[in-house]
Amino acid sequence: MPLTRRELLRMSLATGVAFAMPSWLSAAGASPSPTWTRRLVLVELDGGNDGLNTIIPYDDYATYDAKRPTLAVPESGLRALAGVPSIRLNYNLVDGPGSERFRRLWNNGELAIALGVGMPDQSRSHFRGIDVWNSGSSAGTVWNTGWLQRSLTAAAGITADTVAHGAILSRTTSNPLAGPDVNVLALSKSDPWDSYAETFIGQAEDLAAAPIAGTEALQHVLRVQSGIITARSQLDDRFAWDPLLNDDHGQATAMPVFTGDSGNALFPSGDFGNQCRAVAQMIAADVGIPVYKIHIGGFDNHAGQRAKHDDLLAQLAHGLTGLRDALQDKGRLADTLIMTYSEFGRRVEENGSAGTDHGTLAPHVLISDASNFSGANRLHGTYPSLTALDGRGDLAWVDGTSIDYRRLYATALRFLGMPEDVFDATYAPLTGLLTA
Amino acid sequence: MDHTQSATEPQQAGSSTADTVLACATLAAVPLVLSACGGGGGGGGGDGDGDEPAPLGPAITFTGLTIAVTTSTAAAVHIDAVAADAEGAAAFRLDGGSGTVSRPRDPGHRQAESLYEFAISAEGGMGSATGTCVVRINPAPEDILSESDARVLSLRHLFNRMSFGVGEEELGRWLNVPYAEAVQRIVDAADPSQTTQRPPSAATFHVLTWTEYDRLSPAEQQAYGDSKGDAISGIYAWWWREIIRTRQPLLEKMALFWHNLLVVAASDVFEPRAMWGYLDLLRSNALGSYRDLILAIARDPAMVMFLDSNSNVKGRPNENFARELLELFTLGEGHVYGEADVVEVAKCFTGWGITDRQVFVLRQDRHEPGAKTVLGSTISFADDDPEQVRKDGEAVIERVLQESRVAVFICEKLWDEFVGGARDDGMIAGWADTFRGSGDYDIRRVLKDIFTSSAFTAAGNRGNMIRSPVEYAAAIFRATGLQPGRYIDYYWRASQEDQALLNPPNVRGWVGGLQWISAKTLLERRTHMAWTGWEFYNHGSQKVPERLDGVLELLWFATPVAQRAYVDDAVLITWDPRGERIRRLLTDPALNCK
Amino acid sequence: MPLTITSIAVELRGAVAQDITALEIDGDPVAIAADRSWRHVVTVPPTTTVVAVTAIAPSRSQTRMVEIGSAAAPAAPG
Repeated sequence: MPLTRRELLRMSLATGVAFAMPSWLSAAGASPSPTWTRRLVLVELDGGNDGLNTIIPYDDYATYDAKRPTLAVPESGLRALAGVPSIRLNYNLVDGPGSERFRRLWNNGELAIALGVGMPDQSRSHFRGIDVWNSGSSAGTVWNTGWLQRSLTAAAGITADTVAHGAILSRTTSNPLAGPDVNVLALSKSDPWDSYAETFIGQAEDLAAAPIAGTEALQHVLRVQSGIITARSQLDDRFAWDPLLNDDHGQATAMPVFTGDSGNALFPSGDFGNQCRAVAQMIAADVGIPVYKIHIGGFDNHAGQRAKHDDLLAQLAHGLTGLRDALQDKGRLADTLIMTYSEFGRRVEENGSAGTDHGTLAPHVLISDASNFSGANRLHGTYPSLTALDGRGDLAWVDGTSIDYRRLYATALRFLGMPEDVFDATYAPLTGLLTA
Repeated sequence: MDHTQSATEPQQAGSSTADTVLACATLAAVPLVLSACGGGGGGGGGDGDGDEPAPLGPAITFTGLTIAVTTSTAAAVHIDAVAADAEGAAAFRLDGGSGTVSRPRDPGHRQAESLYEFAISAEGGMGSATGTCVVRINPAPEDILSESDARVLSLRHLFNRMSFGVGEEELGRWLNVPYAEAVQRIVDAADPSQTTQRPPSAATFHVLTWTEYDRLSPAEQQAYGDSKGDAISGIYAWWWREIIRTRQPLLEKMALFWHNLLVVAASDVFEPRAMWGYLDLLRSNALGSYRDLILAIARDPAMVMFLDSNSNVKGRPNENFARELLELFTLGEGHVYGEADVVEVAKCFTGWGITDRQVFVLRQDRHEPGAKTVLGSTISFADDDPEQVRKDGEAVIERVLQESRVAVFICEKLWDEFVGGARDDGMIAGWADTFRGSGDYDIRRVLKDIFTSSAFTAAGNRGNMIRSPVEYAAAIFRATGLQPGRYIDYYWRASQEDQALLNPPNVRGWVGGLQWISAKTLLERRTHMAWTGWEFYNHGSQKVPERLDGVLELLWFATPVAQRAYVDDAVLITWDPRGERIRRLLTDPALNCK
Repeated sequence: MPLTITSIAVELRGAVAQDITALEIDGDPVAIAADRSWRHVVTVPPTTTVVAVTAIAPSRSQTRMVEIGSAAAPAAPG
């Protein structure tokens, strides 16, 4: 039973200590907005995913093969998707555990693909690049807040039900919720969620609420501390915390378990698989967090790319398929949207070291229940030309054809029912993708 | 990392260590050689051995006190019944003897107070007078250091920012010295040659070439890898120990500052010798000239490896170092330079690389010929000049350093490091003028400006920054004079708090500031401090010296006592009130501020 | 004029260890004699004053504080 603000106030009066209300708690009496039943899972592909080897342009396969003598995925490694003959998937997105992975999701109507996503004058610097994607700015502008922070703080009806606005399960320095007045649970190890919750609750056990006073730095510390206290008391409820188990550190007795989750049948072994499972647990336990970010790194392959990249794609598809299956198992898929992003794509031509250098446009995928996607409109955009490249030999931005990354964000915000007016211009969600 | 071997590569200056390394290389017995030559020797891999010299006796001993009394008119003066001489003085010896001028010995340490009281009587034709004189050696710290003393607050702030916390000796030493003079003398005195700790084993680690490595059996290769890991851990522990024990913390502070700017990560460059060389370079140049530091870092083998500079060669330029030089070391993205400059700067550094023994080397045969145009200037040395490879690289650094933006760029970073919060561009411009005008980008000179600036010294600035994980831990030890049991443990704790020393997350370094504190890191900090609190309570005794009890809060915290009022004294554990108080202080959120 | 104590001064005398290369009191250098001894005069105020004695060596330094105070009783009539 989630704590209401009234209960929090009552708690603070009982202890006689001035309770530090996090500033993001809305005024008393605001009723929960129905939009908070939906959630977004962002998947950060860290290092610049090579889109050309992820979703292969089949119409121009000859050019692709010629420009990548050693790197091109051979015909035998291509996997077709029904109804979209112009593209092929890298076999690692289909083969292996997960019962055809992305092909199954496509056939279910649960996978959408956006081709040629990026922005004009895209930065090829990792730091500048990911900052732009996290802040939702244009390439030449520096903004210090995350796009989700701006939307969340403009949204009405944030309630005491919200344990935190976001949870970041890896690479916490890359934060699309950065900024004041949002409470982000930052996990840097992708421990299984019950292990994290156990540690979190145990560590926060004796934190005392404190008056917010003192220097700005101290106030910041105390605000974060208050957020921990609040999150802790709410997690306590969510997980049927039994303080007497596990040598007095306490243990959750109501962790969600997913059908078929044994070994790496559902989720790949390793860090990314753990993150996917942890997110599934948090969602299934109704923790109440609207935004999650998981992360898979290692895409910056300037040398010897194939083996490494194939492995990353396998983990990505296995993990996201497992996440989809786990959410479906608990009836949460319809309320969840999963979306990939990455700081840039990579160059068309391979370099001299069997790798690729930083590039521009790349495809991204969205996953949700079929009821959320219009079946006829799940391939968006066209594959950028492999011959009409920009001045640096990268896939060229073409106004009207290329997809601005902020349109993916607008799609997500539309799905969540949150304010979309958080960019320097209006960006429309992907045309006709969402049903509601 | 590129390990190509060239039969014709010339050995360049800076490879003096190569001779000793080569002397050790007998391939048939490599595992034995590893332990004899570099693996286990030196100062001990794990924590760094004690290196203080054998005790030479107390630094200061008080041997005598002479009390001299002046009276308004002629009088016979007695001090403690001892007749004063014609000048009204009586000398006493602190020799522990039984005579009238003997007094108890000074024990020669700082731990206990010695009180000497003298009764003065004067008798003269115009009457008599009495008085007392009291000399208290080693007074209780709380009697001389108080939060109501403005000098204490200024000095505490200075050390919290310039150092890694503050000890009562430091406060006492500078208490009566005018602030600006104290700054001057502290900044001038820091000197890398005064480092007392012996270098870690990594300093003499035997580097195998790829050829030698390939000839090892799998078991030997495993052992070599393990020995590298141990040696690198030894560097972490070495630097942690230096930070906590050093008498010149400003040096380590600045080395850490430059490390965060000129980033190299040990997890990436997993080479002990090179990583020690990098740290050694930073410490040697931390308080010298920024120009010298940049020139040195361009030739640093660890930096070469980290940024793949060895593969920056004629015909196949690798822009990594060129981009970082402009974007991260000197100008900052969006200032002065463009993409074309990155390409040209990369050409200037073609042929700057390392041998397969990881020694810096210049290879003219891999250097891009022709003129290079950087920031509108042409760098043109003859293509048949064998020194062209060196001259191009040095010339491009000099050219970049001519930009007035460089000083501003560095001073902005210094503002973020020492002052924090919204930048005052006008003040930064003033510091930049000093930095630029000093001729050689004199780091000491600009630091003196910074530590005496109104932005730095403003009372509202005190306690208004967040301690980095390293500062957070070091402050506790520096204040109490205690040491961790194992320094490497603190490396791991700080890495869980998002600061693994010598392993920043990426080339941009640790962002710092308020970002140090998140739900995760705040809980980790608290948990680690709670452990430290329990580690202080060992075998039934509290390690924190009792004589510091009255100044613990003053030393540990940067914010006034009033901001810590919520500590609930009512639930102190009665069987260990001291330990409980210490543990509560250590887990106080205000400890995160400096 | 009644007799009063007009001023009190304390000369601190001490020694430093063999490795000490410099001695400062409140930042001012104090000479170390060949026999490792030193001396320094402090004028004592009617209340208290504190001086910091700092010894500096290549591998260590130490600061010790000395608090010096005085009180003069009012003069008694002659």
